[in-house]
Amino acid sequence: MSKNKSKPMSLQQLLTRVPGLDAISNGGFYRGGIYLFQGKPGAGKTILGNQICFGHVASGEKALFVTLLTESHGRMLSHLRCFDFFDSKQVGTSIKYVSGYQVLETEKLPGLLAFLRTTVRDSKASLLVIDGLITAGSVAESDLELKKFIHELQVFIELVGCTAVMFTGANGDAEQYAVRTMVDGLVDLTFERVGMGIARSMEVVKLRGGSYLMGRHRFEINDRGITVYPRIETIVGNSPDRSTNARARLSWGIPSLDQMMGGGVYPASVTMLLGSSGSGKTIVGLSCLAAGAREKEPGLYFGFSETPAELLRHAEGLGPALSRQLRSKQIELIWQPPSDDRIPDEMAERLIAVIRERGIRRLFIDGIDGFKHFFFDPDRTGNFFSALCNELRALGVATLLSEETQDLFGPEIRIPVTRLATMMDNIVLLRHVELRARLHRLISVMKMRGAETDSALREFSIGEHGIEISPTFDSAEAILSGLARVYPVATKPALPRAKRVRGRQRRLR
Amino acid sequence: MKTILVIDDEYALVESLTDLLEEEGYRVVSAANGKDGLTRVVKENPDLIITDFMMPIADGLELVRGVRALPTFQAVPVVMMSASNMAGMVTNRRLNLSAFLSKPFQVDELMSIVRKLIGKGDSAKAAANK
Repeated sequence: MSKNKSKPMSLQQLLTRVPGLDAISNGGFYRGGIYLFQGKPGAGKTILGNQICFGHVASGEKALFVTLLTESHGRMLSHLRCFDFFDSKQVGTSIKYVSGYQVLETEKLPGLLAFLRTTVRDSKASLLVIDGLITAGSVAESDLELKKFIHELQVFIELVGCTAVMFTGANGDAEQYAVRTMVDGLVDLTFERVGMGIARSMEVVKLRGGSYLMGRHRFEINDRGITVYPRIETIVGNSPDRSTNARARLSWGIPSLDQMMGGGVYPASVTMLLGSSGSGKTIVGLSCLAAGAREKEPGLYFGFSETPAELLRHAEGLGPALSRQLRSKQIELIWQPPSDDRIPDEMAERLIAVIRERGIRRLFIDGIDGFKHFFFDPDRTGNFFSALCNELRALGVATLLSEETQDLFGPEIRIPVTRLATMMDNIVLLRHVELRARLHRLISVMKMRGAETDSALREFSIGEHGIEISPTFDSAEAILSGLARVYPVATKPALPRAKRVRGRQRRLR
Repeated sequence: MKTILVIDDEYALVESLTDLLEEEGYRVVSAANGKDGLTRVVKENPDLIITDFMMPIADGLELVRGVRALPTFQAVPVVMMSASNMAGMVTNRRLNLSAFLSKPFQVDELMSIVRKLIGKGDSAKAAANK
């Protein structure tokens, strides 16, 4: 069933205009409905309630903000002034702030209900926000009384075409259960410590009358207020491939590597550059972006470890052309500075936005570890990368992802993200091998979906002109494992003594 | 003062409609099902009946049939409200309803129907109620 078909025909939706929130509720809440947000102190409830109000009145409608034993209005408004959404002209005109505590204290829930009925009608509000509903719950003599209050409020606001959004404390309180069963929608706000940072998340637990993006979605609070980032796997990854010439090959800018891969990579494909630290992944990736820029294909470098200045210095060592392309923005640079609070979905959303906006054809994500680091649920990483890779393919982008293997040498090659290898169209392995007290760099194509590849291992070096790949490295065995060793003498066919002597003499000349 | 009889088993809706109609200067009486509603019709002699369709004991259809069977009340306007659109189509044809309101509806829509059918409420009473 399509999303639109699942919506009740007669109900209009009300956009909250909180970035990302309307996406997770599949288009906003229903007008005339009653919605509850619950979360611990510090979860961002008051900010969210106000942001919804200011967003609502920006379209010419009116809102009523009712507080029940929360901070004073003056104090709350002065805290709100730091947010971009705050507009002092709307306060007292389009948004009316009133306290319902006094009437609640003296006349209990029936009095509060009568007060809300009158105030909503008088203010002509089409949005009612109640902050501190937990206080109303604490004066109710029974669950039934609280349920009755919610039900009567629900019927009233529906009749007058108003939508109610209520905020209350965490969901562990027994008295809140009655409210949770009555409301049309329920959203949990949570935050938890991850490392030294805080991970905030929001989850629509219940939404009558429509589908929604299930599960937890991260959100942040900054100068713009609250921004919710729907989990990328819930919003992208199902688009069809839009590349126009999917069978064309794109050059890596390294002729021998193109040759190993039957002419290069496909435009809508994802290639993993797998290798240990210092194995040359960044240089191979930059070389591919540079080759694209020479063909007027906009490229994007999305990195985590090297700052733009460091990357430019790095590029200068690889010749003037790459450095020029970076400085002239033929290759765009996006660097993610270190932070404990990054949200992978925010980064992916921004990445996709830049690709769409600039028409990026080649992308190099240097270090997918930069994404993985910010998952507070590691089980999610597979789904995240799967959706991201699918979307990048759908956008027709040739993507390179570099992934660091954990061991410099050793018999095992471990890919830390589950299922990542199966998501890749191509895998290029860069390895160090130690042979006769010298480190050698090797490159090989481990996987190339839909094409024949040269499976030979080749030695390569990094010089002034970038990568130079030499012929097959056949002087050692067990190279793929990283533990190279020369053939034992006894296994080599013995040469006649005269030939051995001539050979030695030639080498000495 | 014009009297409106509101019949619905949903008490919260009756309560809200009562408040809102009284604010407009009408006298409001209510009942929770069709059987009690019919009794109230005879007793209160309303200018307008606003009734739900699906109710216990006697539904809206039975109520309207009962009202139309009483010679004095054959012409009293009846507004039927229901969450079922089918109810509106069926009952409107058979019972010569004045209006049908599909639930959920907004009070402005109801008020405009009420004013059209029986005119405005008592303005002095309305002002006092506000």
